[in-house]
This record gives sequence, C-alpha cells and structure tokens, in this order.
Amino acid sequence: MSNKFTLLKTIAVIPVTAMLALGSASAADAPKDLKELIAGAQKESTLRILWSASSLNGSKGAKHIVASMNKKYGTNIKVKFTPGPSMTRVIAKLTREQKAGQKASSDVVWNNSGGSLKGSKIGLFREMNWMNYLGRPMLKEKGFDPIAPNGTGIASAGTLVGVVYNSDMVKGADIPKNLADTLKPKWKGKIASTPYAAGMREFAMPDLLGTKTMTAYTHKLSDQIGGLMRCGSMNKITSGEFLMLVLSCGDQYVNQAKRRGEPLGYALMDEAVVSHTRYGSVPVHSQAPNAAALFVVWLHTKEGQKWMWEKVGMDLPLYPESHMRKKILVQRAKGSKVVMNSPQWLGSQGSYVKTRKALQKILKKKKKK
Amino acid sequence: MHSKSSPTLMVLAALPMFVIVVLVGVLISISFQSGIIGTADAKFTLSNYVDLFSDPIIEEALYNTIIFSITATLVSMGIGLPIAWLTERTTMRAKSAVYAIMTLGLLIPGIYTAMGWTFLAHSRIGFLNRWAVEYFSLSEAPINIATPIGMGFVQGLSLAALAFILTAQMFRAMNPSLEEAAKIHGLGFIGTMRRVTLPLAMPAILAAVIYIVVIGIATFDVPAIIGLANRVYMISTYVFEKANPGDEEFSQHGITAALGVIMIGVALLLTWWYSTVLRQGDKYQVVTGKGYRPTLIDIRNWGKVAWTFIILYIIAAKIIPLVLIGYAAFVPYLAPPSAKMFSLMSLDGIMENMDWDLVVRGLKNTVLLVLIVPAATLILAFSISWLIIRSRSRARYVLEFGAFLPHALPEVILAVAAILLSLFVLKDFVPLYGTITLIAVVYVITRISFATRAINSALLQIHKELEEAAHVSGLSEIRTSWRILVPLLRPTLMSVWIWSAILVYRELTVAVFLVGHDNITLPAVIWSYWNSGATNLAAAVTLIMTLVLTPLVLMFWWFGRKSMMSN
Repeated sequence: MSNKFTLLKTIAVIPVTAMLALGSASAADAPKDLKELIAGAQKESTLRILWSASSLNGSKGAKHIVASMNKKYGTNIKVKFTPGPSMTRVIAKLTREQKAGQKASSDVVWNNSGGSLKGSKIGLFREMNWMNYLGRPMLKEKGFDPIAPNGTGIASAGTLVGVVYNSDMVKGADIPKNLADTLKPKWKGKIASTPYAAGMREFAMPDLLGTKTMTAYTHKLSDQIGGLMRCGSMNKITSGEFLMLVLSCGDQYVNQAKRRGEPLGYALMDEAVVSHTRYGSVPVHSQAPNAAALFVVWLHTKEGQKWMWEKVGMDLPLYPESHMRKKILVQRAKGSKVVMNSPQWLGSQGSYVKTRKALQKILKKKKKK
Repeated sequence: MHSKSSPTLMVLAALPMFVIVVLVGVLISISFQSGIIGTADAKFTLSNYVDLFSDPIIEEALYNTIIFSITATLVSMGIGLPIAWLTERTTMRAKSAVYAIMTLGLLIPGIYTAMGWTFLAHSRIGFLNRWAVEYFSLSEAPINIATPIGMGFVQGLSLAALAFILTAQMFRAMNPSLEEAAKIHGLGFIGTMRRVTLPLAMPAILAAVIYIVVIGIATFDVPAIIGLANRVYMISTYVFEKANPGDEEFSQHGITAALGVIMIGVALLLTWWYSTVLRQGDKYQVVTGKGYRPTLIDIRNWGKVAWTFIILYIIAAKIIPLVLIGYAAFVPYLAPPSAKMFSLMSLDGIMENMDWDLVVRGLKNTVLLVLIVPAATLILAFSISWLIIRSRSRARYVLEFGAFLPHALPEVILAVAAILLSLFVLKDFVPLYGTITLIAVVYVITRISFATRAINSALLQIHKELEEAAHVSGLSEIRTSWRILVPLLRPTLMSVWIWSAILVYRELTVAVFLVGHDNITLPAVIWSYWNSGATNLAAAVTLIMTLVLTPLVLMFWWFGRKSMMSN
C-alpha cells in the first residue's frame, strides 16, 4: 500500500517539478484583475500555510481568513495550516525547496521588509498585479510604495518598533523613553534582545541614527542583556525571565496580549519610530497561487483590516480607519521621526545587509567575564 | 567456532549500513561545497572548514558542549546506575514501580524538564533562588542553571532513566557466583563491589557512558530552551542556527556538514576505544548455560534509604516538570505561580485556540512511527549485533563502526544530510522529502546505535556454548537465533523495543528539521507552539501525549514483567 503510494507520488511529482522549473512568474502571466484571480482560485482546492503560530493568529487565523475569503469571493478553498518557524526561516526553507524544484511548503508568505527585499532579489516570489485586485484605494505616504519591487508582494500591515516590558515589574519612571534608558545599570542581565537585531538594524540606517551610533549602542546593549529571545515569545517577558525586550519587531503582540490581561507594556523610543511593514507574497512554487493571492487580498478589505487589528494587533497605516495610522500621527505630532519600512527603503540605504549582520554578531557574542 | 554468517543477517545488517554510508557521503560532499547546495550555484571549496574554525562561537560551543556532556553523564550515571543496581541486584521492594516510573518519566519532553527547572533555579524567577536571596539576604542568586554545568545537570536528570535501562539488564544477567566467591574469600561489600561487581559491569557501564556522552553532544532541547536564550551555545544549537539562520540568509549547510565530518573523526576514536573493550568480551561473559541463577543482596533497612533516593530523583526529574505542564496548560499566559495565576486557571485558552486537526495529524504520524521504527530497529540491530559479537568476519569491525557512527554524529547533522539527500539527490527517483518515510528512516538509523549497544552487552553475556550446542543438534543460524538467543535476550529486546518506542514518541531533534504538513509529529507540534510563544497549547499537547501513552506503558510493563518472571 505504502509502496504503491510512493510510486504514485513519484509519477505525480516529476511532471509537477518539470512544470515548476519551466513555469514563469512574471506579472504579465499573473491574473490581470480580481475577477481573473477569483476564477483562478476557484480551480484550486487547498491552501497550505506554514508559519509561526504567532503570525496572523496562527491556525485559527488561517482558518478564519480562508473561510471569510470563500464566503466573500465564492471560492471553495480548504486550508492546511502547520505551525512553523519564524518568517525568515520559512523564507530560507522555501528558497531551498525552490532550488530543488520541490513544491512550496507554504503557498502564501507573510514576511517583513528584509524578507521581501531578499525574496524579490532572488526570484522567490511571484510578480502579481496587486493593486488591480484591491477593492479600495490606499492613502498616499511620501516615500513609501506599498508594492514590493516588481510586484513581488504587497504591504498588508504595519507595527511599531519599540520596547516590550513586563508591566508588573517595570513601572512609572522605570519605563524606558529612549535607548539610553535601556542601558541603566539596574537592568543589567535582566533584559533581552533578539538574535536578529530587530529594530536596531533599521535604526542603524543612514536615514535614522546611523551605523556608528547604533553599533556603539549595540555593543553596550550586548553587555547589558541577559539573553536573546524571539519577538513572539512573550512568555519570557510575562514570566519575568526577562523584564524587557529591546527592541521588539513590533507592538502587535502587546496589543493582543493587553486585551487578554497579560502584564505587558510597550514603549516607543524618542529617537525615532519605525513602522515595520508586513508583506503578503506568493512563492513562485506555490501550488495554489491564486488562492494565496486572494488570501492576501482579503486582508485588505475593511473586514480583513478590522479582524487583523482585533486578533493580530496590527493593521495597515495606509487605510483611513487604521489604528496604527493614528499612532503614527500621534508620534509625528510629537515631533518624532517616523519611517515606514519597506524593501525599497532598506535597499536605498546601501549598508542594510552588512550592518544587520554586524549587529547580529555583536548581540550573539556574550562578553566573557 | 562458527565463522560463517547467515546471508539473511548479512543483508539485514548491510541495509542500515548502506543508508549510513549514503548519508555520510552526502555529508562529506556537502562539506566541500559552498553556495546553494544541490544547484548549479554550488562550488567546491575548502572554505566551510576555514569558516568553521574561524568562527569565534564554535570554540565556545565546543567547550560548552564538553562541559555539558560530562556533567550530564556524571549526573545521569550517578543516579541511573545505583537505581539499576538496587532494582536488579538487591531485595529492594516495589521494583516494577521503579521500571514504570523510569519509563513514564521519559514521556515528558526535555522542553518541559528545562522549563520546570527554569522556574525552580533560574537566577531571577527560580523559587530556590528567590527563597535563598530572601532568607539568607544574599546580594545575588546562588544558583544559575543557564551555564553548561547547570544545563548538564538538567539534562542528566532527564537521561538518568536511560542510564538506568542501559545498565539494568547487565545487572539482571550478572552471575552472582563470582560475588559469592569473593564473599567466601573475605571481601566486604565495598571490596566485592570494587573488585568484582564493577569490573564485571564495566562493558555495559562504558557503553552507557559513551552513549550518554554522545547524547550530550547531540541533544537539542535543553540547550535550545535554556542555552539559546542565555547565549550559551552548544554544538547542536550551533548547527540549528547555521541550518536555520534567523535572518534573511540561506542555510549554511556546508559549515554544518564540515562539523559533521569532524564528528565522524570523534566517532572513529570512540568506536576504537569501545571496540578494545569488546575484544576482551570473553572476560565479561557472566551468563552461562550452567546453573544461571541470580541471587539478590539483602539490603534490609537500607531499602528505605534507597527509596528516599529514588523518590527525590522522581520529584526533581519528573514531578516538577509534570506539575508545571499542568500549570502551564491551564493558565492564560506564563507567569510564576501565584494566587492570582491560580485564580485565572481554566480550559478556555485551550478550547479556544487549540487546532485539533493538527493534533490528530501529529498523533497519527507519531503512532505510525512508534509502530514501525522500533520493530525495524530491533530486527536490524539484532542482525548487526550478532555479526559483531558472534562472527569472525572482518566485516564486523566495519559494522561496529557503522552502527556507532550515527550515535556519534549529532542528530541534527544527520537530519540535515537527510533533507539534502531527499531534496537534491533522491528527488527524481524517490520523492521522500516531507514524507513520514524519511523521518522513519532517519529515526531507525539514529536508534541503531542504542539498540546495538544494548543487544551487544546482552549478547556478550550469553556464552557461545549454548549456540554451539544448538549447532551440534543441527539447527541453522536463523533457527538458533530464534530458539536460543531470542528467548534469552527477550528482556533486552523488550526493553529496546519499548525504549525505542518511547524515544520515537518524544523525539524532537530530528523532527524539528524534517517535519512539514504531512509528516508533522506530536513533539514537533509542541515545539512549534512553544517556539511561537503559545506555551499553554504546547503544555496541553504534552499533557495529552503523556495521558495517551501512560496506560499503554503501564500495561506493557505489567505484561512484560510477568513474562520475564515466568521465564
């Protein structure tokens, strides 16, 4: 039985692999409008999703989005969700699969600006006519293009970079207001950062604080922290294992957690505010590319944005009703410099990859006593 | 005497060897490539070795791993060996309970042992530290488990059950006449232990030590949970980071493969050392066909002391993590236990957020692996062990090395080799990528060492004269194995089966690398939930996992002990 199954799979996979190798993923080949996209999705059956259980509300979120999408667009897509690693690790996995001519582990990708930049450079994502699929216009934001290079993704949400803290243990004047506050001796060994230098890599760009300032800060922070953690591992903060996460990938975890009564707080830094943009993309080796794109398109509906804010704690600051937009406007009114992160912005900064690697290296190395 | 070897056994023994050779071949090949492996972009180079040795973290990772492994081995042997001796060689009461407890304890994933000890001995949130700082007015916490020694201690607690099972069979099969002779010649308890019991037990102890040292090198969960967060790197977490870079980089498989090739060198040394012990095997044949009758040492009132020791171990290694699992499953978010947290406990979080389809998918795959992998491992390992111990063929040295090799290689490295083999080599011939078959193959290979070590030890202690008598009576090699060896080895084979099954049931290290939609296992579901911060869901799945298997394990041991006693 099992042998037969393996043989059948062998026979099935060879032509699929050949198709993938020959297939084109240019925008000209992508559905031209929403109608075509829906027609394409109606011919597809299953959307396989692999990402962290903390991304887009995990399995529950994937099921909700697909159910809402089926209802709205008249499709009949089933979802198969498997919790996986962080978004950047998913991209590494998808790249490996693409190079090997295998089908993608995830038909749709939820990634950040860095991942979007990398994916667009190496041809990992399909080029789609995203703006043609949306049912409503976006607000203009100076210097920010919501479409990733060559249509390889679309900005779908934003979240603000700052410091997460345990609100039972860090109170009042102790709540950090700027980067220097996080270096106070009282926090030594009690706070954490991320292994991927979240936030710091963006703050280090020439448009913001610059490489020199942030390299010096990261060296000091590396001596200050007790360890490293993932942005989504809020249990390490609520448990008191670490009192703060400096800097976090965004405030969405805290926005969600606060509603559940978890002892978490969030502080934006005086120096600058970065809106970390989340992109929806479709891998070139996706088995259900139209359904995958429709999944992302649904997130742009009013209903989708509302759901994202309520369940995921973020939305896209390019829609008038956006809560994140209100937060950004408050920061601007205070005089803070606000940057909406994008692959184009990162690409224009010149030293992003080099700086990111250098900062990560500093954070990973523990200073010997 | 009988130097010829059964062709069937040869074929069965050769099968895993072939897979091991292929995996090692892939590993060696990858170690000399840079770029995206398996594509036209890949180039042959020595740079992986240069990069590996110039990486400042590798030196620290190697040093930490050595300290961690030694500590884990000392702790696990310090606990497991005396419990094995007490259970098998003394009149201590309720021995079946010890077996059941040691086995059940292994169902608790290392993630939760690590988490339990984080709450107990973490420098800030650990109860012990808080209590010590408060009552002794200390300026800082006296205990820090986020060190190689601290983590080695936690890992040692988890591995003590393995040390127990690896040495218990040897004590069970030990011929007491030598100890009795020592007693007649005036040696006391300590003298007999030092000059008779321990030397007789040496092969099994060495096997267990080597086995546990290498587990220490390869293990992933405790270093990942406690170490990574505190920037204490081990070889396994180093490989994980290189294979799964946490940024927008490509996996650095070349560097992990280069490390794997170096580990093959370590395996070579360890195998050579172990084989020198095996070559003196005749000295250790403590079970013969003549009047095999183990007698037990009467420990009288010391039984209470023995049970106190066992209970303390159970509390530290099993009860604390288990209680924590229950706590973590029902609280809405993770925080140190308090009146407030207890008042928040409910089933709501689990019922609202658990993906039951995923749990069922994971359970189905895990059950399938538990049914297939131990049986396949047992058959293949028996064939290898027989050829190693009983045949005179020169091939036995190759088999010995081949069977030991997967154990000396960190499982993460074998997993990486398996991924690349399935993705880039087998892709057009056998589509194994993302299938349960791929996981089963790697699990069998990684369990072969454990199974052959245990069967080797048991076979060493069965004198050849029993088989020679069967041969004289005209029985073939296979029938001799079936009629003579299998019944005598039944306790060992049964132990190997159940331990393989349990290790497969809770296996995480390989699963983390190989799982996808269709082959996800329950431990991988737990890891995924844990890793993304959903600790209550991770704990709930662990609870389900433990509850599902507990009655089965208890039943198995009950029938197993009955069967052993009737033998």
